[in-house]
Amino acid sequence: MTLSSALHGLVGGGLIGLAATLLMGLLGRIAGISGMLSGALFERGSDRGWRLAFLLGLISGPALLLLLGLDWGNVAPRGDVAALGSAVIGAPLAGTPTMLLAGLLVGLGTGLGSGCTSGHGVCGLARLSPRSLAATLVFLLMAMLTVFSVHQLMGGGV
Amino acid sequence: MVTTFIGYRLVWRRGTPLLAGRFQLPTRRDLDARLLGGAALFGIGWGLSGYCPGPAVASLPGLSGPLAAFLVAMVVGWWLSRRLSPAH
Repeated sequence: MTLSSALHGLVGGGLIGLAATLLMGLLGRIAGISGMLSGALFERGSDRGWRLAFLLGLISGPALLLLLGLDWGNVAPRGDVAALGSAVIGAPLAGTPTMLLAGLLVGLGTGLGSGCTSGHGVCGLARLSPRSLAATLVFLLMAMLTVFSVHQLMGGGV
Repeated sequence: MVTTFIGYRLVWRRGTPLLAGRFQLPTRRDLDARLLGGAALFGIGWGLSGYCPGPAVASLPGLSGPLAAFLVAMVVGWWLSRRLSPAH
């Protein structure tokens, strides 16, 4: 990790914390992305508006970076939108079949486990919730084990 | 996390949120199989794909085939989890 990527992480993490704090201060709600999107899609009622608004804001940040052709200093070749996208956001780790399986596991897991990295990891830990601490430890450990196994057993290619 | 830890304590001092009637916080503190099993499944999916839901949604502007597959499957997973949850 370079100094610049550490700084990016620090600033980005601070901004995420600020966004979560604002949502709590204004609407009194937990900033959990999985619950927000799942709720916006599958629940009727008054929560849909703020959920969609937050998600639109979440998408608009990277969209703005794309439109401006910015990668915080690394300007992609003009017109190369695909390269720009991966430069801004980070390309997927695996091919489509693996991503289908992974998406299903992430959806099922965050649905049953009541949250993901934002709801449990950021907001839950800040609230000192024992459920969030346990969930965060479990999903971090499982993610590390999975990455390690994929690299060891399959030579990195999935 | 540190920002949120401090930020939450500052905004909770007001007693109510600025634009809503009350803070809506989870109250459960017990651990159950659903929570831990769900977190384990999520961890495997996260490790395989490199995506958790937040960054996956934020990456929509740079949508690729594999990411689209991931997002669709994630929504199917949420639908399944709601079918499996007695509360919903």
